[in-house]
Amino acid sequence: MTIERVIVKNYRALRDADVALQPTLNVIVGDNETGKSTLLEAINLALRCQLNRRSALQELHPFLLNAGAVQEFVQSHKDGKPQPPPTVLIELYFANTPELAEFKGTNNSEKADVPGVSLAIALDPDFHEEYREYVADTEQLNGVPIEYYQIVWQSFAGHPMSSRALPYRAAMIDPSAISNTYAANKYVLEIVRDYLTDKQKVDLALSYRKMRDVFLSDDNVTEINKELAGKTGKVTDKTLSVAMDTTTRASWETGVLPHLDDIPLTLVGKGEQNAIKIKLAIESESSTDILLLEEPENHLSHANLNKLINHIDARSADKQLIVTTHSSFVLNKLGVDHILMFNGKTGITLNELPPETKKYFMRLPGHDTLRMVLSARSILVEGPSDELIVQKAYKQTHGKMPLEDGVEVIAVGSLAFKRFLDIAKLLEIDARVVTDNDRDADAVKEKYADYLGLPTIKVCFDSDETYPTLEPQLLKTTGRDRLNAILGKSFADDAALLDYMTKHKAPVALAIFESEEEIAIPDYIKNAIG
Amino acid sequence: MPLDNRIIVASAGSGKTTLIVDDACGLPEKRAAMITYTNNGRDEIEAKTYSRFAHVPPHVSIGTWFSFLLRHFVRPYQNCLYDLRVAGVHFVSGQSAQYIAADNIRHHYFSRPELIYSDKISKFACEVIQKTNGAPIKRLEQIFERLFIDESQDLAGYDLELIEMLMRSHVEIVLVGDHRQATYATNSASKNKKYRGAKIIDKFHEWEKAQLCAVEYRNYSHRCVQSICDFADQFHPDAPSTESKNTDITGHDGVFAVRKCDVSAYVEKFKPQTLRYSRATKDVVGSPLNFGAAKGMTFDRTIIYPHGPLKKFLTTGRLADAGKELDKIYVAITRARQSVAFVVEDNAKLASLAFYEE
Repeated sequence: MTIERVIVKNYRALRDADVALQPTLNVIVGDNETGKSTLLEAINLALRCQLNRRSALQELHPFLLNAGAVQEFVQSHKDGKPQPPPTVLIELYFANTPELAEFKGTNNSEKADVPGVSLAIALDPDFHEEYREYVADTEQLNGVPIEYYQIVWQSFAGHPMSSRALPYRAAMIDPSAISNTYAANKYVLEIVRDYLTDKQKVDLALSYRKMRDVFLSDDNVTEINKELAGKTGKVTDKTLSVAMDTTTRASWETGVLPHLDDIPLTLVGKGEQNAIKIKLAIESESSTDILLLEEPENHLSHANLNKLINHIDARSADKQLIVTTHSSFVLNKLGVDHILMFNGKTGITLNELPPETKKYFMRLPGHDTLRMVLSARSILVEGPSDELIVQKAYKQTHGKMPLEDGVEVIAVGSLAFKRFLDIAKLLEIDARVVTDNDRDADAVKEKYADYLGLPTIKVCFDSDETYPTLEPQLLKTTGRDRLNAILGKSFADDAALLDYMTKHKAPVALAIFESEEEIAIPDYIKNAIG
Repeated sequence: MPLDNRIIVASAGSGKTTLIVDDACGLPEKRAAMITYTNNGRDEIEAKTYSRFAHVPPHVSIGTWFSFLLRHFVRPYQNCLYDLRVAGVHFVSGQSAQYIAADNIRHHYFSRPELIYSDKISKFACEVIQKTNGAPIKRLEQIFERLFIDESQDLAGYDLELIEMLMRSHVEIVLVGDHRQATYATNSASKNKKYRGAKIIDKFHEWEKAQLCAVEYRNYSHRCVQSICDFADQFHPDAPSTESKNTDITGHDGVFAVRKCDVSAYVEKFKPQTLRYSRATKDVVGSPLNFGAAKGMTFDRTIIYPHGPLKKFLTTGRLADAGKELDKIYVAITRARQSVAFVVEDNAKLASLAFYEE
């Protein structure tokens, strides 16, 4: 079973999202706050009708509804043009395979004849009367009456879903959501339980129960209970005794703790815990077909992350894996071709790039692409010396290094500019190009004609053709004296200094970068870092 | 003929539930549904499945005709006709919303917005199939290899259209039923009126002629002794006669008449189950069952209070006098293994029956 498409409406950060997924690996990247985690949560919710590993109905709260939708709803009532109560809708469209025919039908917002599951959080018609009273007082109205909402969980065939209805299982691993030891333990146990077969679970429960009986028949315990029984009437009229707790149904879960090298798993480092959870979920092949994995890089050292990613990569061939990450390392390891750039509305894959550009990046597994994709903003420059000068200029202007602001300065070489801009254009990434005019400003304009005027892309260059590259530009703005001082030189004329600078580009740029002295920043660079 | 489609016309007591259950459960590689009209019928199939296989095998599902229609023919593609989810069925005994045109979907098919009239479900299903170019059938072909439909004599109206489409599909269709026991109908739609009741047999034969299926008769009864079979067969002279496989001899076997004055002694001695035409029949002994309600049940002995037409038949021996409800009479007679007794007036003169004498 694979999910081909996810539609989410009004769920938390996701107002209206429609994402196509690949059948194997999906690495979801995107800015913070775009709702990557929410997307995973929504998928999990629609697959299991669970929130925080509990029945979703018990976990309903007003903030599950998109704040914007709620705001609109409230405002519409205050304006006297009432809108219907906002409804959460999550639809999972499965690959159209015969074994899922039972879930097939057109009960989805696309009226597509495919198998799938939909989960709606909507006003319960039984509460129409209460709802009417609730919205009548528009003065007081400030939200959505979630207590009058119900969850409608059904297949695309219109048949009610149950947690065991789907022939396949999904596991969600979200290490960041675990707040304390108790929760962590419960969480690990759940995954261990997912990993065990039904028979193993029953065996474990039986052994546990047997152990309780052994406890009771132990001589010491019998003696103690006899003694306690003798006290009947002193403390209470009933007979007091000790026994192991037999109240919970499958009580091994409360008394059994997974151990790692004889250390309780809850006491093992968080990173190792996470790795174990992820590996367990991957290993439980029988039950897990879809694995939702949130930011595996959390709490892991680089070496351990490397091991974990190798493991994921090697063992999840026949599963659909949906991973969110902020780590270019993770993305690079899992393969840039699996990237799914999510912007809160839709997911974009490299398949949508111009074929030439896609080929370029596939050949060159570029760490740099990822840097751009994962950054808040990228400044693309021609070479290492340009990179250093732009860094310097940025620090001089903003008081901190660009990376501290999530800004990546990437040296890509002028030939590759357009490839990067194709991605930036597709993903609507804030990208700026700093380029020389190479004595032909019109040629530069023409080269970037396709990208001029795009909202997120800026091409910065100086149109004065007498200053064709970085070095003459620096000389023009900063002047010979300051540069001599910075470089520890004493060139008597501009020509000699420029000749030196052009012949020693890298050392010159490094000296400028490392110097305490400020430079006068050429306008086209100012333009890029502003 | 496509696949192994067949209609099994099975005499009362021939063990048709067992037949279905064994067939459906016995082939684990073929996913099957066993469908019947009433909840009682479904429970009976389920009980039989548990008793023969100890569990309901995972490849088998059991349900009623209406729930089957809703789940597989109405809801999956209902939004080509009607958007609001069809939540359930509004049961009607006659024809619903007769004077509302079919293109008024909301009021032709639905009572409350989410409740579909019971007599229109299969019509709605046929409409969906037509609108979607057969999508529900294609879907069903991926879910089931075989469908067993019990009590198929009760199918009526658009059910028959639907069954015909199913017979043309890749799903193997097995209908089991006995037209002589057509006491219910799934609906009273005017569609296919000429195949109502026992006439359903004509439809079965038409389908056979069109090479959609084979019609088989199971003309034996594990239940009734031969004389009971023979007596019941009189009411359907066109059907092949029934052979008894019950060879038990108790000393009081067959069909008898009991004078009212002898009833209490008779009941005392043989402890028969009382059957009556309806609640209108008063002053009866024991805990009576109506003819229709006794369908599917088995007793060692029965005592029957005949209604007017049946009384007349007992007197004249002419089938024409037995009225229209031959189905109910047939059901009533075929409940007993060993003996059937008709309660008659003390001075009654009968065409053929022997009186029970102390």
